[in-house]
Amino acid sequence: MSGDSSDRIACLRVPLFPLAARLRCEPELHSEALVILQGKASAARVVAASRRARKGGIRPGMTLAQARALIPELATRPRDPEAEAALQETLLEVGETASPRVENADEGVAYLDLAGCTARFFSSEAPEEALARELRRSAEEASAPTWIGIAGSKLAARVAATVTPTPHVVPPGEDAEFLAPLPLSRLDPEVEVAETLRRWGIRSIGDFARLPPSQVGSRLGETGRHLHARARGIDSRPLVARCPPPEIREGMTLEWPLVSLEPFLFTVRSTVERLCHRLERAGLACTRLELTLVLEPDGFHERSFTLPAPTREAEILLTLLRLELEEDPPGAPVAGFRLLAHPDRPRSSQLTLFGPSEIPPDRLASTLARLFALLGRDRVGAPRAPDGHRPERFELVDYSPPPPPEVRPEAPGARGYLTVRTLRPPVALEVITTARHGDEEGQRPLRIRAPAPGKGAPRIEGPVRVASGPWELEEEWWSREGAVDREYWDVELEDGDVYRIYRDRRDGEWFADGMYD
Amino acid sequence: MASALPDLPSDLRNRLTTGREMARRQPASVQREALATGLEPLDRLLLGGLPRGEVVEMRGARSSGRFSCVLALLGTVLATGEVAALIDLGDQLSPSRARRREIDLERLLWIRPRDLREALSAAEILLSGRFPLVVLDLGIPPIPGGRGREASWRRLARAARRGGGSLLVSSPYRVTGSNASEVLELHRGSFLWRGTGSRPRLGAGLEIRVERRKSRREPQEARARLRLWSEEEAAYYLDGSKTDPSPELDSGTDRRPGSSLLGSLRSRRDTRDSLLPHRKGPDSA
Repeated sequence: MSGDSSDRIACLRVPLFPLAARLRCEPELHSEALVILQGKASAARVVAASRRARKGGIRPGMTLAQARALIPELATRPRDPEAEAALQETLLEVGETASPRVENADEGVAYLDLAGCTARFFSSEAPEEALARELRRSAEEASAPTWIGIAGSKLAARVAATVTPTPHVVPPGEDAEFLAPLPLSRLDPEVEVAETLRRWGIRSIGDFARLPPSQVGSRLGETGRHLHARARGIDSRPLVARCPPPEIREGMTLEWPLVSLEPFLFTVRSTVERLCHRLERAGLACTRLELTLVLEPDGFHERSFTLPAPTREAEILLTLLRLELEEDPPGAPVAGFRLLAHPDRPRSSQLTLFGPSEIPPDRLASTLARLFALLGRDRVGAPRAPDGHRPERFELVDYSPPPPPEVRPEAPGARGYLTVRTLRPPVALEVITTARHGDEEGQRPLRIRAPAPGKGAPRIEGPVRVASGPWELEEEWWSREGAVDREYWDVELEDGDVYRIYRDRRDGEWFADGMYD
Repeated sequence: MASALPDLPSDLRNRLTTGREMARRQPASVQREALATGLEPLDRLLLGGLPRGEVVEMRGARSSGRFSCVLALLGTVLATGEVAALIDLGDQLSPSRARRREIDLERLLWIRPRDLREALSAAEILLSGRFPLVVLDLGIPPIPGGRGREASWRRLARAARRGGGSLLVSSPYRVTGSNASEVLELHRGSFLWRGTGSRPRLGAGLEIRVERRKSRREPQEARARLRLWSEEEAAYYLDGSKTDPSPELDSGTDRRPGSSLLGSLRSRRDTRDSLLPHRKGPDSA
């Protein structure tokens, strides 16, 4: 970027960056007299103050005691590295909505290479102004109050981003004219050079730019030569485009440690909503979420969970967070948190003309998350039949149905099959059989009764009208715990109920583990 | 639509319409195609199947074939590529038995609530999540949580209407009040045994009677008979093509010849017994 008139650079700048980062996390403080402090205890100094605090006379560099002397009810917050990092990342993401080449400059500053980026505003009389207005609107939606300047060099763009009204666009080739009336301090000269120029009586950038370059170089050295070039609107610093990070991060430091889940979830809600907003702006969805809790007095608690389908719905993520924290609480007060979303492309279901419609993956993920929150993960899923013949055995796996067929198959005409309700756990029975004492093998049940039905267990009692059996079931004879040796009977009671009962041949006890229904 | 295409002749323009207008003009019966249960008598009583967006209650005592009808419905609907959810309050589904029914378990979401309150909440979530079929099986008495409040069932009916899904409530007694659009009652007939007298018997099936007690579409009550066959009966006496017995109880570790299911069947096939409802008599045990 050498000041070529064809180069166009936009500068996005968040004024009072530490304050803006804090207000983004705690918007309820907008109307308060608030200062952001850096340093600890008596060494803490004000680095940014809200409008109301500034009206009360508070300025950066004051100590907390000095600030409190001016406004006793002053609200204070320390600088929040998590919140500032998130705001900086948000600023860069806003820039990336307009240009593929974005430089991550200082705190709260980003540069955009606008080459070819204003083409979509071709119908506007001032495409750069239109682009800047759209960028500003996007930034405000992302809770990042941004000033914008557009010029031919990074320096001029940055200076343009400090003047009102914003956005400010410097016409192509007029960087030097734009800078000329501004005070020399806008070039951020080194202290020695600034002092020398002050002694020379040079006050504005224009005054400095009119000096002969060779003379400036011989008197002020290399530093002065560079400064002189910038004063003439020539900025040799190239724009260094960044590589977007693979994850999206949000977080904040809490004002005081939280010990209850509900206040924490209340606090984390706005952060999750911002995270989802950023994902939406990037056209992405979260496929895995990592939560890091900063614990008091020290330590971290980290959790990671994979979503059933990529989603950017804040409610789903909050439900999962609640579920995870209820299952595994951190065990110490939480002083801060960080959320890291691993993005993926959102999946969408294809509408079909001839086949059954598919539940959209994000809706399915939301439904499953709500069910998990209601019942727990061990009670929701797709059933799977494990190996073996014991009817009570089952497995639950994650529910991920295959896509529906493109053409709906004909509904098969089903023959009615009789099935058995599995009684889980089996109901203990007292059974009178035809067996003589000590010879129970293969003897028919005559009467069955559940002696003490437990809570929720069915009442089973009555004389047996028909008994069919026995059928043998033996499994895992090699295993001490899992061995099963049963003798099954199908019995129809006098009242018409039909049960599947068995005698455990290892101990002779009787159970009902199924009912024909 | 018509105003967007001003250059077309007026007769053509009048015949064009938007998708939304077309959907609105469709009769409700076309928009809400019923979900067939696969059991002809049930489909007949339900006028084609479970209506979408409605609550259907199926009441039946123990051994009335209610759970068999539920699995038949799930098997049929899942076979057409739809997804479905079974809220199994009694925790009574056996995945291995369902797999033998060739039910597509991958498309089935199995919910195992602890009580009726959880079951109702899960049903509402599923209907809001646009599941085309939700089956709420309340198991056998006693139902943990009682009958549920009338307001809860009303909410479910509203959720079904809004989401367009069908909710089948399978219950041992009436629970949904006036919120079900169709109510079927299942009555146990006879349990059928193959074999008579003192010879070994084999459960062959169950005869049930189905009554339509309420229908918002067809005010007249109606009834039908339905036979449900056991796996073994279907495999050996109805299909004729299947030669292997059900492996459920035949673990391959039989030590006594003739005591396994396989042995019993072989010994019985030659008897050519007729299917007879059991008659109480001196040789009944």
